[in-house]
Amino acid sequence: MVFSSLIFLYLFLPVCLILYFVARKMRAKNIILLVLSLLFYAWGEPVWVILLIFSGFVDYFNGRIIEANRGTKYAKMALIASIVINLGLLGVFKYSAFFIQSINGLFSAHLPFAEFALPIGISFYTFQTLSYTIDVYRGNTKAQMKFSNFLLYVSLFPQLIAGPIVRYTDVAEQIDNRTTTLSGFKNGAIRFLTGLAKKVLIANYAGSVCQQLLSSNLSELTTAGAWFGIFLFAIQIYFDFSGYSDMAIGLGRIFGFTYPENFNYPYICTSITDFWRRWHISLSSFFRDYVYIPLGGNRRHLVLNLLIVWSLTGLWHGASWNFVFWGLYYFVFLFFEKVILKGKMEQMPWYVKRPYSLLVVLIGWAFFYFTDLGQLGTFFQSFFFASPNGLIDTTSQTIIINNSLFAVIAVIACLPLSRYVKKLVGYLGQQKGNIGMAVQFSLNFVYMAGVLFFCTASLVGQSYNPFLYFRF
Amino acid sequence: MRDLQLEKEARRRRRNLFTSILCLTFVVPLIFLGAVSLVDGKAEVSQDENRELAQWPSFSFSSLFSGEYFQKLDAYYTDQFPFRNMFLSVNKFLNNLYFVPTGDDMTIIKGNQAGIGGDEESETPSSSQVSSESDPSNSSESPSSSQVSSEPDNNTPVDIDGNADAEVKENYTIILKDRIMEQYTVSPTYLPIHAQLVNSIKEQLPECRVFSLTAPTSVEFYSPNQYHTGNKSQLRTLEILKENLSDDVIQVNAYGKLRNHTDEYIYFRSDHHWTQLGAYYAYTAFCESAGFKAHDLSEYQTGRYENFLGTLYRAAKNYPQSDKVRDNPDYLDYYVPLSTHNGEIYGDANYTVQYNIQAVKTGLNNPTYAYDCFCGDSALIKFTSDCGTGKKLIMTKDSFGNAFIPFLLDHYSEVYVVDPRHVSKVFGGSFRLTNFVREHQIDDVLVMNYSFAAQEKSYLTKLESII
Repeated sequence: MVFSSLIFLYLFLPVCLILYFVARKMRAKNIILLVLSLLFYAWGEPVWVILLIFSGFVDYFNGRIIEANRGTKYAKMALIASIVINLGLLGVFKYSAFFIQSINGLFSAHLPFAEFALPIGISFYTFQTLSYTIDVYRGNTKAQMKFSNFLLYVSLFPQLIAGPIVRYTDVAEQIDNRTTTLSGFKNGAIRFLTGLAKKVLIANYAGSVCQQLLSSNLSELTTAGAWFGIFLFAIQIYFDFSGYSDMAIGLGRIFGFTYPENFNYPYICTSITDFWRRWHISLSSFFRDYVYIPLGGNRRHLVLNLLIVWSLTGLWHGASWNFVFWGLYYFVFLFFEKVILKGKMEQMPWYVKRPYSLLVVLIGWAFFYFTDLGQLGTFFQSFFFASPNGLIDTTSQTIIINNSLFAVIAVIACLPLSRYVKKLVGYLGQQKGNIGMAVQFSLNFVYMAGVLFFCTASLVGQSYNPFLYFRF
Repeated sequence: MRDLQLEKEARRRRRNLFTSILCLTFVVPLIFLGAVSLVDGKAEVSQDENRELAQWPSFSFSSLFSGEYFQKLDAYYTDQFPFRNMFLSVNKFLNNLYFVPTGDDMTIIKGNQAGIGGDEESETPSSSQVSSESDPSNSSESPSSSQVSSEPDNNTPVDIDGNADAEVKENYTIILKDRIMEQYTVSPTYLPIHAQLVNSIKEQLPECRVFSLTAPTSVEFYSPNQYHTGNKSQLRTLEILKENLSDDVIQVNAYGKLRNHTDEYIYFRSDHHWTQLGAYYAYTAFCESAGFKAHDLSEYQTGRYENFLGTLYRAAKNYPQSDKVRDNPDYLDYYVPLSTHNGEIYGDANYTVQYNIQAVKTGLNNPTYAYDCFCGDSALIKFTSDCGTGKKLIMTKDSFGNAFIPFLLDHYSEVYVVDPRHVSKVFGGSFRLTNFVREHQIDDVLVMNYSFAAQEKSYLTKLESII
């Protein structure tokens, strides 16, 4: 199930909220959340929900072994078993077909392979459980003794499918002991609705226009179309992904969980290093803490460490060469910034560092968008002013003009203006007398009701699917 | 001091009240609409969208494990959501908020992916049937023409499935002022296949005259230059067909006649068809090719259906730019054949007459879809007319043919109308055009299409299967 669907919003969520807040004991609340989370997952993966439970059990079991045998070789063996099994599952389900196809391609071999449909969210939950066992081994946290509690951590529906990658240490305390407050509920609801609006009102719209330019008529792509198209994809992927994180964080807060932030206005970055401090923070910090630093970080083999981390980051995003290239592309720029400029990028004037950063990120999205390398080539030809279709034509001109207002709104929405709005609204609430509080209340009310209403209309609108040739 | 404390307490209470109301602002609509969605009446068909709405799926373990069951539940819930029409109009308002018109008032919207190849079997680019490799199983229900033919040297078999399907594109629709048009792209792959199919009819029926008529669509005459030149030119479509048609096949130049009358009402602005006036000009071209004298337009009895909003308007209805079309709807002028005639629609493979029809239905009361006033699409219709020429014609056609048929009835005593998309439903695999022509001693064969169907894979597959 996905958050941005009517059945989640108007059936799953209300049922979940009613049951959760009617239940009095934490134990009961947790069981309700666990059962509903498994149902939430099974809605999209009726079979592989077994894999989720299995993966959870393996790490729960290994965590307990480590806890009981701290400092002995058994603890180490349990850690290794957990790593091998988790990465093994990921390898089999996500990467086996890709690797074997690549080997077959390289050596003209004909090794057989099975193509699995990628179980939803497997990349997220295996990383979560992996971080748990490593943290237990390192002594950062105690092992969870109750399997149901551990499974709840792994499968909790707000963050199950698309992150943030929540570490066990972030929420360990909250599983048994958390409070839900009225203002936490309100703030969670506002955060959830903000994420919903980002996904439904901005990302979906950007996606459909982007597809018009970059997918359906690629052979007719002009230079202007290529720039506008990849700009729209940058908008789509940011609002889609960060909207999803907002919804996860908001839902978590409603139920009393505090999840880590995952995005921090990435498009205002001043360098590529800065971009990766702002984009998908829970993933880059995972690689930092569990791969980069154990390898030696900045102190030993910096270049090799960067290369490994960025190949893996690329590969994590998808089992396809274009994602590997995408990771290596970032390796090149991070190498440039860290090794050659030695971190001086951010001291450059704004008119150098900002256009540079945005351009690098924008071109990077092309590697992300086109899984077919031939199409990627066609795109770059147009992007770099060598389009056989010229700079601009009627189609691209019409699409750009028709969507120019949307583009402006989307760009503004990328800026940290909402911070100031929040500050202003918060300031109003602190004022003496009733007027400030009343204005604050009204703004919140209009925002919440408006977003819910318009997002619902937009979701219903997506089902408007006239069938032209129904009767012919 | 006490006062201050009291005031603080009051503020705290007020704040809590406000926060509670905000929480309810979120929860109440969810619960309310959720509850309504469970008890609300369910609709079966959406008139606006011209489609059946998703219904409650039937349960089976295989559909549960494949994930299909939950997907269908999702679709059901969305299609049957309460206040659907209200939300749809709000969504239209939202679309309008973002939109900036261009100087020449043009919009490009996403069209419909549905194919031309008939209702239940339409193929979309993502469909698993569309295979880039030659897959014999795909054509199992449609024996290739080489099998049908008894002649040993029947050229190369027409291989429709063997062609890469890279050309299948999403349809984009252009709204230009108060006219909606489908974007067209020439298919250099499928047009030669189309020509080969027509050639193979002629080869198998050397005694018949075989005509090929391909009708252009409105985008060719009413769009900005870019949409009807180069690989979007429908004139190019006709050239490719000409290059590939055998000299024994007569290509009817309907295009040339239509081009001379573009200032007249020859295409609907809200529908993908031509008007019957457009069909009339194509008919004059046919008469030139066939050696008949065309009747003058003034000879026909005419009538009009007002307020016609067609298929393209339905596709674009969700976009506010289509409002101009709604405010200035089409009308349909029909022309009744001069000869008295009767049409018989066959309902099964034994040629049982299902019911009788006229080529033009007059006096309909506010038809929901005015173009239905022609004979519509059926597997096989036999028209008999009292025009007295004794000549017989068979035509294969898509829905563009429907407006054209009335004119033929004044030149042929028998007109057989075959719609390849519907043949297998009525006849299974038993109908063969070539056998039918020999059995009924038919003089002329007309293969008629509009330029989209003329190069559409699923249509051509069905055409191949009946030759």
